[in-house]
Amino acid sequence: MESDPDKEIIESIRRGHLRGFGALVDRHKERAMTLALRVVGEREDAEEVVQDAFLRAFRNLEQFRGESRFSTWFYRILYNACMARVTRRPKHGETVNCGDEAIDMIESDEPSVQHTLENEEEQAVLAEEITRLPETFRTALTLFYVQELSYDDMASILQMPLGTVKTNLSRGRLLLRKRVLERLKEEVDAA
Amino acid sequence: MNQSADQNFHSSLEQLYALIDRELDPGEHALVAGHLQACARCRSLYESLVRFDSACKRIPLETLSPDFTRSVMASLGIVPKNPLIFRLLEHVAYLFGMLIVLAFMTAAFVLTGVIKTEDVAANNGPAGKVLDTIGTGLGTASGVLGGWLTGFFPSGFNHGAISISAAVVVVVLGLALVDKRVTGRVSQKFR
Repeated sequence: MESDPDKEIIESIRRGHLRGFGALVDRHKERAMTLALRVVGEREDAEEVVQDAFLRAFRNLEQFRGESRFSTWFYRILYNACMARVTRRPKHGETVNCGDEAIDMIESDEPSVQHTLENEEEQAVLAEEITRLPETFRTALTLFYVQELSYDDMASILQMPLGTVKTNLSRGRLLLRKRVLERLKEEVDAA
Repeated sequence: MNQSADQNFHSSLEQLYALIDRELDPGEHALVAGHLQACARCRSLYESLVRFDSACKRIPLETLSPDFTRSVMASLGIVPKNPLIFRLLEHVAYLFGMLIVLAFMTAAFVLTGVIKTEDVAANNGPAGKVLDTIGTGLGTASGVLGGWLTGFFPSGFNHGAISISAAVVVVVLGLALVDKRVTGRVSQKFR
């Protein structure tokens, strides 16, 4: 495991400098909110879940033994809180049958399609398409790109086998790339 | 089988993603990297995936309300909540801000001729009628409140001052209601 950038702050909190926890909140709140919003879907709910997760993390800080990074431990708390919130809601029949779509794309993938995805509009399309992915892929992509976690850390947070994480991430990326490129192509054709 | 030498065995997308993520073991890394050097199709796809991947890493993070960290720390009892006087002052400052904005808007309407001062003076036109209605409403409300309050003061007391105070209270309460409605909605929308 790489050294934990939060280690010093956590040690200082344990020594009684409780205000140091504010630095941890500041450091992780935006990434936490990004993950929560992607999983939960509604801003108000997401902010509440993030706050609850921070409160829970502080109250259980004694249980954090430093075997993983603080961020991995914290995101596991956050992810569980998000899932608890999502499962309390009635299901809206989210489509998760996207394996075929992803596989079709492998067959028809065209490396010649070029987009730099550097301008704001293309970035907006990308951000929007992530929110339209099925929850499993959305979460995997957010943990990977926003939280910048390794496959192993993702498996630990999601409590899934490593292979499943790799598959979800890979399929999520394929599906996202396909949808983004299709949208951009449609926009170019329409212009 | 020497994959790097055989262009019929292209790298799979999962292999390419694992290469980008540096998650391949050294042997497989050498194999896939060697194949990329020899195969223009896979190299082009790899470069496209790298571009897409770096775009995914640039997606902006979600933000939270500015007082989020303080709110977490206050919930934990680490920092006190903002004292009541500061919260009240914050609202008063906001009300004054609203008054200034209203004054600028009115000045703009008068200068551009949307509101005619002679119409307002004579209670003519839509603007004159609206202002007349607001003025009558405020006058009635402050008159009722002032009349009710004078019953609590000795007969020698300055009743005019009570009426003016009542009018100010009515205006401030009205603005506070608008403030509550507007800030609630605005902060929900733009947070």
